[in-house]
Amino acid sequence: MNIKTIRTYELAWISLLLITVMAYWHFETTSITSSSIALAVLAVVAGAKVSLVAYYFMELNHSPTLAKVGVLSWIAALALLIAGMPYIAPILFEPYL
Amino acid sequence: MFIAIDAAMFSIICLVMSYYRVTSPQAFGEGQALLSSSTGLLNTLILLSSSYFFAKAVSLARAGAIQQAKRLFQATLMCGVSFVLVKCFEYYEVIQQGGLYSTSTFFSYYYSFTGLHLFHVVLGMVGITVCMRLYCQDQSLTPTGMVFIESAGIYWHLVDMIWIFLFLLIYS
Repeated sequence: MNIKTIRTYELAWISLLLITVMAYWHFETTSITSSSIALAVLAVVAGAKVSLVAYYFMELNHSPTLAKVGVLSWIAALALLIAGMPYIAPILFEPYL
Repeated sequence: MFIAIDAAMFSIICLVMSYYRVTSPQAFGEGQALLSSSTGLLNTLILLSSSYFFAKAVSLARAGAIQQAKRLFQATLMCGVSFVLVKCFEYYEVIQQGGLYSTSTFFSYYYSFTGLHLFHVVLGMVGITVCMRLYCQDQSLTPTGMVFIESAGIYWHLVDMIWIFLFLLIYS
């Protein structure tokens, strides 16, 4: 059994738990004046967490480059679209409303 | 292919939810006020832990430590059961406060999207049970068994990844 791999899993797990709790605690205790900024920050944090799950738990770190690029691009695109929705929605959908 | 279709479907769901959140902030806020964000946080921590257990179980199964892997599959399954129980409790609480499917668009989305995700969690739990019952009985794994376990792992991690985005869009 590869001890280094096992420790990597533990580090990824603890990092994910810490990021989740810290982000939750931060947004529960501070008043955010702009909801669009809050959504953008949270989307980036969620994107980072999903990337950690994909990279270490889904073993993307041992996958071919094409798979790595494909999955990480999907995660980045989704996080950016969510983060940018306050700015994208009026441009894309307003003419049809 | 199934996992790619699932990922695409939930990506569209996340974009629909973020669009609704941005374009109807008042209705979204009113609906969200009935939800308990701490329950959502608890479910996030449960699913993240389950992903860790599953990843470690796959690694141990690959190394031939079948019995240790089986214990971690059981831990993953327990996390899945906990997620379902917490979710049922959350639905009960929301219904008690008057948040029904037909109450508002927010609750239509909330029940549809979280319900669809819950169905995927249950499907993943069936996969974990198959991993334990069919492939972890002997001292060594067949190549078919290893492929099934790895595929079930990828599926389970995808369910976790989708929840991270749903938690952001619905509870945060």
